[in-house]
Amino acid sequence: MVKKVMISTRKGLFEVVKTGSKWAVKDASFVGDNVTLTLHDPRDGTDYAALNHGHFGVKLHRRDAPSKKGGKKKWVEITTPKYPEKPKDLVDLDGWGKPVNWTTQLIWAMETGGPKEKGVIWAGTMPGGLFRSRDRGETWELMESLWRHPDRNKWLGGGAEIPGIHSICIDPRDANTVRVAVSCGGVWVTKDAGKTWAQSAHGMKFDTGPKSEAESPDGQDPHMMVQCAADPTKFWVQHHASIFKSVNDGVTWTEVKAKPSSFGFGVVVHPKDPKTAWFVPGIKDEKRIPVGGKLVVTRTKDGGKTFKSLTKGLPQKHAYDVVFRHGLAIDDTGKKLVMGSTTGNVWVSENGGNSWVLVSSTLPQVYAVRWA
Amino acid sequence: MACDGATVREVLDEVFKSQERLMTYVLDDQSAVRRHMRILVDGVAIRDLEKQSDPVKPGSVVWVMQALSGG
Repeated sequence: MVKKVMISTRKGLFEVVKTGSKWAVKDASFVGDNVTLTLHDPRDGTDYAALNHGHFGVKLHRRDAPSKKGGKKKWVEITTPKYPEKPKDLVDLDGWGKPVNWTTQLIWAMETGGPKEKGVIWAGTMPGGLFRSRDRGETWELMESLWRHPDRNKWLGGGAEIPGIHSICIDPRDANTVRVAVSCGGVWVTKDAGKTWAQSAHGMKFDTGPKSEAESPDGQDPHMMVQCAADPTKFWVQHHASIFKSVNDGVTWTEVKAKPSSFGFGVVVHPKDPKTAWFVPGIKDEKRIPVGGKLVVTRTKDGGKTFKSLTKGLPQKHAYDVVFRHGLAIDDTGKKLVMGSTTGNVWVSENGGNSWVLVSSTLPQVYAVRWA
Repeated sequence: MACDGATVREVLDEVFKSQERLMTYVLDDQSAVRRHMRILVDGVAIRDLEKQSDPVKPGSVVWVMQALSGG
């Protein structure tokens, strides 16, 4: 059962707990520093925090589980995923035709390996490298098979100038099957623990541009991809152009339209019910604010046939909150949700989104939230 | 600290020997100077940001500085 929320913000990591009936910030770490993402490993209780100092680069920190008596451990800096030396004469251009800088510029995804793979963690990065550690982040290996795949040169930056991996789904049926989503580069799947990779974004499409480009899997921009834990053939993607779902292991994707909008960044799926998923819509890609200044969470319970706008407890007047792709999270019961916004608001729902409680309105810009 | 070395990179390597993690703060994955870091030898900015081959004389002072920005 989850006990707290880890909130990664532009100015630190804040941990929210419930005391009595009230959710509130209890602890703060790395205050003043740019914390971009966290990971909690339920297999051993370890927490990980990714920082991006800008000038000093990307750094990774680890905190061991509290002692049996509850004594909290300190954060310790560990090894950051590092790209190998770029071959001297290699011409390596991205989809825009710009040279790729083989340097970790953002840790954009972190996930734990399979239940039996204790110590295995995965990291997705900008400029597009996928890394795996087998020893809790002491050492990292670049997934060369994906990095050296010739189609990687078709990947290109979307909102950021360079491509990156932001979603990693370790298949609950078999941890050798891993899917990653790339902005912009579609969805990639391995079924042999990373020996080989194949494109798996067929059916996703943009609604503008030449058809050859708009429907090319390699150019798709899935903003976030999630897999249902209890029914893992089912996936949801919040895409740049719309919402997409797959009911066949990501082999094909079909578009889903929602009101008030199908544009957004984050998505979560109910861990036990693949037909139930939540989104946080913005007007559209060139107007990234809530429709009508009203912040809503949209929820479908029927696989995308219908959506309900959930508003109770959320600001319905002059709200310009944007919830980034990792800014929405669900617990393993499917009842508790947490959401953090670009304007430093954090809300918790304990009834599947029917109503929300404001935890704080004064935090820095929120990049990511995570139950732990 | 006092270091031996005929180039900036040799001097840096001396420093990184005793403070391994410091290297990742100053240089990127390809061992190039990070975008907002600046290295000066006797008050003059180095020009070879990729390999830091700029010469260092006996008694030279090497400064490693970073720009600060953002809000």
